[in-house]
Amino acid sequence: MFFKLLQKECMQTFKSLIYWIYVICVLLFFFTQMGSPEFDAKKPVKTENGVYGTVFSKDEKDIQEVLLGELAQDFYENSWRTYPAGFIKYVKLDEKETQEIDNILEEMTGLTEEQRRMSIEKFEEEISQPYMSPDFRLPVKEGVSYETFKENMKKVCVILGAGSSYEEGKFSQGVEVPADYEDAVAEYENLIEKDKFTGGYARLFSDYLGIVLGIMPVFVAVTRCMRDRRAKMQELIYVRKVSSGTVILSRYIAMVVTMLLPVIFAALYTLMQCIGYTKGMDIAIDYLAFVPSVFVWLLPEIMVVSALGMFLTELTDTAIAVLVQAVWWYTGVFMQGDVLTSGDFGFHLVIRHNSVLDYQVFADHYQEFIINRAFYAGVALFFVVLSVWVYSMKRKGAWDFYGKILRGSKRKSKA
Amino acid sequence: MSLEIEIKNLSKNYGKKQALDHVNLTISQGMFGLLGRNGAGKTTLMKTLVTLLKKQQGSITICGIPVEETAEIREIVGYLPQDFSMYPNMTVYEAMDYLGVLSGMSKEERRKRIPKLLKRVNLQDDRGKKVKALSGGMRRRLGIAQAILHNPKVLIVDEPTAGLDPEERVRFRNLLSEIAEERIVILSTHIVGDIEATCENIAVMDGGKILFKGTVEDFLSLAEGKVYTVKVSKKELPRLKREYRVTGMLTTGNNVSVRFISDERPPFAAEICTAGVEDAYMYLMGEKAGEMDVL
Repeated sequence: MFFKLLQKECMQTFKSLIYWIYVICVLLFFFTQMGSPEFDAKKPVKTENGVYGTVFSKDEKDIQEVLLGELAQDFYENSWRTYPAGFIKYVKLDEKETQEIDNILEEMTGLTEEQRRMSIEKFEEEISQPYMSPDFRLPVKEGVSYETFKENMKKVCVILGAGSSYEEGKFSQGVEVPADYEDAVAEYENLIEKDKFTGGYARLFSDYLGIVLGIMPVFVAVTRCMRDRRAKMQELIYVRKVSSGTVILSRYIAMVVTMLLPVIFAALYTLMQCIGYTKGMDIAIDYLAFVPSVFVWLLPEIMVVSALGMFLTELTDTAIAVLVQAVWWYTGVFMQGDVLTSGDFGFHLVIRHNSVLDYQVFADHYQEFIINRAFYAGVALFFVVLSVWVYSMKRKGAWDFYGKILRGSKRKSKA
Repeated sequence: MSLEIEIKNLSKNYGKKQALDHVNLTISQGMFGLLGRNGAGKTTLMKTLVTLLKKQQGSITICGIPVEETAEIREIVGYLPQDFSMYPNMTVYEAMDYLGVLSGMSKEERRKRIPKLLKRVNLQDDRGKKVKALSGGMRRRLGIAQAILHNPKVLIVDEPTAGLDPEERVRFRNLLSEIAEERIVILSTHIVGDIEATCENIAVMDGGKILFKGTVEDFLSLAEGKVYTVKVSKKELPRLKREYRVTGMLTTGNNVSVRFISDERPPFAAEICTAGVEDAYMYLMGEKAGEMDVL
């Protein structure tokens, strides 16, 4: 019964207008954002004053200078942000706390507030393109040890609260610094040898698709769950022999499978582009690089967004899930902080890695990545189980959220 | 497995409102009519029988199976709700096939049974039509077909003829009578004519209680010898309405032919006439609703 029902649910999804809107949105986003890759990750050529992008450095000097520069800038602008649980939080410091930060900066750099201000203003005057420029750095005062630096950063974290970029767990992963020629060559070699070319593009593909898949599946899930009610078919289905688990699981799997199809299509398209580009070049590409991208990176996202949508719709018989998901998606995508290629996966729903390079950053955070995806796959299954429970309660008349809200008006017509 | 529904001391509340109040009923094979005004508790009773609502007190067994055994009950009960439809973009056949899968029917069973049922409800030529293109009557007939798709022992239909034109209504009643030859059919309605035309046994509900249960003959006997007709002028009509329970009026010129109920012979020249189900129902609702202990 299950597979026959699954087949019928897939056919229903294919006939649904909202599903085709989903397909169009996913593919439109894909083609406009990524489309045919430009394959600009070429072997670096050494030039005078050459710019080779950025790399992550774990050098203690780099870490201290970048962090102190950032701290001085935050102090100068009096703008303090943290990301507890991945979402932005604006922190307001009182006079005493501000003074403490000032003391730390002075102790670490030997510069007074006035000297630091002048240094920042000079830096800002010199840079022509703020978003392309290297970070502002402040040198550490001679004789100050890395241990003292770490102690002071701990104090900063106590003042700002959890989720600041001054946490040791974050800065010990490295700071972004301008790459030199050797760094750039090493990155390129990683792309060709370790990523086998397609690995880098598969990550970039997942980065883009992950954005749109953080919101679109909820529309398909909500529409499917509300279709019974809209078509006045709920009671005809409720009184059937089929178990609640079979109904919900067949619908859920059908949704997830059908929603995965345009993703697979886009992945194959990008793979073909990669194959076409490397034809005749001495590069041994990984033909299966998109498999983990689709099934490990993106599938859990589709699963959790659909499952939450399904659960909230079954629970409330309303489209509230769209609003909930929209808030989650917006805060997740636009208020995560600087996570584009930092490897800060945490528990973000939408994982970012907006580069075909930076293999090592991704590799260093691979465990975090796997934990994140496994967590969301688990959350998805949890919501599916809850949906089955709510559905079975509704079939027995033991749960009627909508009826409770409208009890007053419904009671009149209840015979 | 006995073809019988046994309801004992069934009660259910919606908050403070008592929707079912110690209902006791035994329903055997054939057509059983459940009559009552809107809000009497009929739909609540129907939904409790088909496991869509939980009972709070009492017991129900359907063909010997307690209603708590939802999976087994759903196998032997078919249901046509009052307000229903199907996915509008599905064809008649697709909708039946989908519900057949949900009923656990094999492909072979569905392939054989669906055309047979569509023929029975006279929809064989419309099997490819989209559900949204069906008329109200056709949709009701499709509703009956889906309700008996898995060949249930019990069929429960809630207000099936509401909104149908007279021709469709007669056709629908006949269909239900045919179906009742081999199973229990419970017809819940507030339309007295449906009961009169099809049911052998009935129960009348009001305020969540059973006011009457028995055969239609027993029901008619409640009002026997108490129904009269008289021809009066239009001027006399208001007084007559005040003093008697009027069940019918036919105006011809300045005169009105009035059908009314009276426990005693009226003090004017009125003709006694044979009671109909509608008269008995009006008599019961008027005279006994306050007492609630007619049984």
